[in-house]
Amino acid sequence: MFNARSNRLPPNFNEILDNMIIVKDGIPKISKKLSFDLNKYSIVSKAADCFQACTAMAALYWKQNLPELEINTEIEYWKNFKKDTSIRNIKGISLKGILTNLDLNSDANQEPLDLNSSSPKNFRELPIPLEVETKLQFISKNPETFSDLMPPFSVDIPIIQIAIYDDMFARREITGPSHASLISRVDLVERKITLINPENCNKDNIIIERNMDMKEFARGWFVTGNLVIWVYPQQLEKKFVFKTGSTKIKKIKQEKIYKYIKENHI
Amino acid sequence: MMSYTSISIKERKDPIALAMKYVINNLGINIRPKDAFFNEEEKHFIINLNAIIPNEISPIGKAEKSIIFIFENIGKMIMDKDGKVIKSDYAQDIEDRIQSEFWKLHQKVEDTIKEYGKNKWGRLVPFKWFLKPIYAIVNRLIIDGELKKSRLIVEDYWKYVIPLLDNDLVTYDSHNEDKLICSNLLNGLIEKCEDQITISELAVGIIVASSTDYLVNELKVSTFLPYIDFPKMYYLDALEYGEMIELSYDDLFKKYIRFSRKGDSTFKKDLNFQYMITDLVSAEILTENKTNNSISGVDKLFNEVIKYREDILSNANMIIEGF
Repeated sequence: MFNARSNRLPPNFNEILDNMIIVKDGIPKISKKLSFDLNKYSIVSKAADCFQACTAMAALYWKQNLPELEINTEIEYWKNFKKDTSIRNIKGISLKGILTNLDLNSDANQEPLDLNSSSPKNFRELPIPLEVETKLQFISKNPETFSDLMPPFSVDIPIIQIAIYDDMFARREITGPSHASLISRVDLVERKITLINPENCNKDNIIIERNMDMKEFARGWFVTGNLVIWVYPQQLEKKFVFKTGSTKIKKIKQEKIYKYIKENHI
Repeated sequence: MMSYTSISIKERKDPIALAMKYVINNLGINIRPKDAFFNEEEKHFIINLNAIIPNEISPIGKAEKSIIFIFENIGKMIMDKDGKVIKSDYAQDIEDRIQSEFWKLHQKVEDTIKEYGKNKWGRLVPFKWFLKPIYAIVNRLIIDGELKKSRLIVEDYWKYVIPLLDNDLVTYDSHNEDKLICSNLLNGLIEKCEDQITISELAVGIIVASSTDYLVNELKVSTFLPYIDFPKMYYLDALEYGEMIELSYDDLFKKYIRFSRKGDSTFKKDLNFQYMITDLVSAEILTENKTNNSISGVDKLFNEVIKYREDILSNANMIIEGF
């Protein structure tokens, strides 16, 4: 069972990498830059809570760009969110755990969400699941190439993309834990990707954006399946066309959560 | 008329990428698909999962170190040829397996702490409170010189005698199988100690050091586990770091919550941890620096656990210093 081995890249990884950084016709070579006030909304991660920090910053980004959204802007609220959803298990937080806080109750995690029960075990710590609180959608995607990171930047207000990658494997070629950062800019000309890494901050706890070489980033990103999580407000959803059926499933669940909240006067 | 923007991207469709999407949604960020095999007969992919668990140690006044533990094949999922996950291990099952792997790895350190505290556990309040019948049996044995097995069974005390028998503290009278008498070990303690309270405390200490599983699983007494698990979190970090360090109480508490053994979730809230630390400090298992709210260890115990450094780190992927 126990054998410390490294991530394994396929033998043809260099070929895959060449395809990943290729510039496609009709796709911009340089993306817009994410417009986000890090001086105001930096949520720093210091203890294995990078995913939660990115989630919080994604919510604040949307509030900054669409002020009509009912999203809390108090940093204290988001610090509490990070604390309340901090990893109390070893396997780490899942998206489901962040959105519904179910991971905090590991026993409940095995059961389907019991929406007919008013038992507090369904929603521990956070009285209202983040998904409902922020009215944001979180959709996971596996872009095949760096060009596939461009379309979310192409709309009026770029869609937030949280990249999940092995930062240590990217930088040092040593297997490390999965890490989360926001993608701020993609430059296929210079072959650089700009990341808002919640662990990369100055002494005043302001996050400093960092450029990373695409080849380097690709190494750590490939082993996590080129995973990104799109975050956008539900109210924009109709404007986008998705190919997967996951949106529909999520909406049904969302309606059930609203029903639960309404019935329980939360 | 509202204008619509179509966003479509090309996605990776290989089993590892699709599995990672499932993992991040449902299992946890520390889980990673390792490999995928196509089962020709069943026409589906079997994907093995690894767990990659970081342990960051941030001592007060010293450089931080990160240690990465990789547990291979900790879980499995089955995906059809269209990329749909048709079966996966539950998140909780995976969590339990990782927990169990860690406990196996940490067993030697735990045993060392329990052995070191053998003369101390019986003095501490939660042990006295929750193992009261064992103290009572030892006291009766010292006073009466014997106990009747049949009576203990009728009184429903027999289950408390078993750990005493297992640890050779009591023995059967060779002439009467219904009669239990002090063993040579208990007689030795009686000779050494002046009062029977100390003797029963030492007997309980011996039982805690050797029969923890029995106490937890059979007697259903687990209240004392934080007294072992909390110092274990400190000594494991010190051992992985390679030297005695000062850790903030908050950091250590977070680790304790994360790695605490299953079944003690209620104690996280109910137990007065500050009171426990005072107990552990008085028992010379930990030391406390109240000026910076930090916890440290004691040299004698640290010198025992450090012997297992190579054992533990040979199973870790690496150490990054100053990370």
